[in-house]
Amino acid sequence: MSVLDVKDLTIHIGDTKSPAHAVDSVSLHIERGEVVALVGESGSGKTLTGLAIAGLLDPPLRRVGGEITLLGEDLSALPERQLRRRRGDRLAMVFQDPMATLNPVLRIETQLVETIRAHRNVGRSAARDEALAMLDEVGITFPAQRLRAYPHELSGGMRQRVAIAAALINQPALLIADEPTTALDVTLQAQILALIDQYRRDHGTAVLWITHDLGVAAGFADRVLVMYAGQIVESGPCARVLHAPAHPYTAALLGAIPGSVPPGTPLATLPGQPPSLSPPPEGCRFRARCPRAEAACIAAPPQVAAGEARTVRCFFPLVTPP
Amino acid sequence: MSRRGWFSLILLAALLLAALLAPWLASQNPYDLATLDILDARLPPGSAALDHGGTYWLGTDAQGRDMLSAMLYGLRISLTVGVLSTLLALTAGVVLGLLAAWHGRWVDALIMRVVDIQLSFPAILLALVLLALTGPGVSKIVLALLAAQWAYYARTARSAALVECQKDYVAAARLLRLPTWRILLRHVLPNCLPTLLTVAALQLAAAISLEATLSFLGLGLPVTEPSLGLLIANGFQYLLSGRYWISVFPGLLLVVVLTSCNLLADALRQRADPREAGR
Amino acid sequence: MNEPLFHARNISQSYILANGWRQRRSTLQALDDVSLALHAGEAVGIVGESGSGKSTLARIIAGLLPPTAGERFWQGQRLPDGPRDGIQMVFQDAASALNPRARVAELIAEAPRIHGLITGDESDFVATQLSRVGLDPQLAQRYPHQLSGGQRARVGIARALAVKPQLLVCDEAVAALDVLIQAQILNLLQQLRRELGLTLLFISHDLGVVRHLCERVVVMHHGRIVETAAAGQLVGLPQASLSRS
Repeated sequence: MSVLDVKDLTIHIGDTKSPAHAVDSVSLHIERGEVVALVGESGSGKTLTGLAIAGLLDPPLRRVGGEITLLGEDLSALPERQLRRRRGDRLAMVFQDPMATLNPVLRIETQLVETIRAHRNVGRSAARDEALAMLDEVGITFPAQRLRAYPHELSGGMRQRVAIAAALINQPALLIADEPTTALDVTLQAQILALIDQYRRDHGTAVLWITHDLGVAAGFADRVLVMYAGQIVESGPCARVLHAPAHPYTAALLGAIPGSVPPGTPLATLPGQPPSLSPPPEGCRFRARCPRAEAACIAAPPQVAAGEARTVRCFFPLVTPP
Repeated sequence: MSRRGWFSLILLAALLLAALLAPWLASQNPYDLATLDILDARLPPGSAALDHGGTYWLGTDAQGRDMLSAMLYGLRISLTVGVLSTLLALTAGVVLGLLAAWHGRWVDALIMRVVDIQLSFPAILLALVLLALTGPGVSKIVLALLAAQWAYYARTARSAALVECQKDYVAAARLLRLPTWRILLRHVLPNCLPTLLTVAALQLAAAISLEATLSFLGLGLPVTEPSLGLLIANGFQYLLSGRYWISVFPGLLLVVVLTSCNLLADALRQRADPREAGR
Repeated sequence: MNEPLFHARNISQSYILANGWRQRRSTLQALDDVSLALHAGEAVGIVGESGSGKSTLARIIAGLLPPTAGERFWQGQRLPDGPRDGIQMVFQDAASALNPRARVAELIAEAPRIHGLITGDESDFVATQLSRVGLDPQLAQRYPHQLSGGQRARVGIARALAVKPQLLVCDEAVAALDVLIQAQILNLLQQLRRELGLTLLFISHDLGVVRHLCERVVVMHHGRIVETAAAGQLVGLPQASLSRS
């Protein structure tokens, strides 16, 4: 049984007459202990997908279709507000800005203890011990002192660790992480990645890692899903996708990373910008920028297999299916 | 802008128009004693004039003055004083606030300590003292209100400008070696304006009500130029003898003026605050 | 070796953190005796963690911040505090670096107009500057919020180049951009550098970006320069060198 199973998730933004089709028929599943990276540029719909799974969509964002199954229970029939409660301790989310999770006027101890007691019937001192152990587990030095601190007294990296501790403290089956390391230094980023990697090995937590950085996905995720203009255009095991991308867009993303070409030579780029999604363009959404586009691309390409456990949404993939 | 914002703006515009057109809207000139008839004194609303065919829709006061005409002229004076003092105080406060934010150090310390001292006096006390020294008059009450209110604007302008000066577009303007006055007036000030206009709308209400208070106390404007506050004061002695209209109608008009200013301020604040923009 | 275009000598910067009543006076040493020479036409990268002092150094070099100690030299001449003609900066957050209430045309033309650098028609001038950074001249009448992130970054570059600087300081200029747009901007900077003979000081936390663009890399840590090397020689070093103390 998958921890998370999403089928045909569709999200619209704005009024019903001319909404932006921000997320279009996104399907994905995550197994126990698996790390799946959802990669895309800003505006690709990756964050909205994460928010929808967490039940955090607010108007003008609307989930207009799709099934979300968490631990075998179909939650999509429930209205958003109830969804949030049902998901509660099975799912947790960390954001780019840890202050989105932390309350600036409460001590760390209060926040962690209340998070525990909101979901489980645990005594105050037992909850405090748990909070202490959790801070230790996410690599915070002098955890007893940090418990007494307010968020503003901690450094950025420390704050993100506390936010992660708050997310993991009820042992969720699924952790959704939306760019939690983007604002951090390279070294801190590596530490946080290592920390979450270790945690999911110990506890079997499934992780959906949302990022714009293929480099982060490369060293960390089991599988990668690449989003473009609201659709998943490629998916597959991380190493194989990054080594031999099937979709021209994935190839373009990889070619744009400094280091992919000798210093001083121009990086490969794409012309133009992602298309407007209200309404989305006919046919392949990547067509206008694609170096391999042909007349056939006026029709919408289906998601097809591209090698073992891989899919691609393209008529002319760079990797031919076996 | 919200519907409430437009409503308050239209209401305020209508009041301004009524004040501007007072000489043409009013049936008599309330300051011209020759047009007053003492026999028409203290008539209730809707009474007919004794010698000519006119109707006193809102009654008359103790001198036989048509209340509606007196209120239109009173509104004119109240708004003139309020708008004029607000504009002057806004200008003075913005100049000082921007200077404090830009220079920092001792300039900031000096200006802001004066502001602190100023704001620790109740505005009405300061205005009372100044008017006691200068005597009544439109220009004198405008000066008194200016003295009582510039500090609010200086403090608001400084804090808004400090936020803007931290932003990189100001650093970029400095690197481009634009003249300081140009950076302040063309770059910093326009980005502070939403906050300042909100405060100005609130302070306009405060200025009008302060003027009304001073006039009610007999310190603001001379009896020959009655503002709304003075009209309320004139009717005050008759309030308990059943002749309510002499005080109540100018009072209601004052309430409408102040409410529309406050509503406008609220709408401006919502517009300036992105957190409320979507509501 | 010939005279450097720009030379910062023994720059130190400290901030007073607490100096209140009955509080112990404590200072933060943001920069500690940093010296850096930039030769004409060279591209130098500064890498370091946040808090390493690299952004502070950028602002001091540009003249936005007077250093607590140390001196700046321009072609051998000592510079007074404050900005100077010939040094411009490109900022990280293009949204905050562009006045939200000014149109693109005004953002680009304002300073050149005041300094008398525009000969001929102003709209032609703006169109030339926009085309140079790969923007459609039609965008001149837009406001910053009507532009995409990549377009804003280009406007920021166009504004800096419109006053013909010799030294361009880029403070995390591509850090907030998606990788495809980042690649476009890096290509643009490289092309402009060649065309205009610019000297480039490129500050970034991303060693890959710096290595791609610069010939020489300076590594900063805790307010000091801990390593200076040709970009090629840093290639073999692990990223952990950033955190070495």
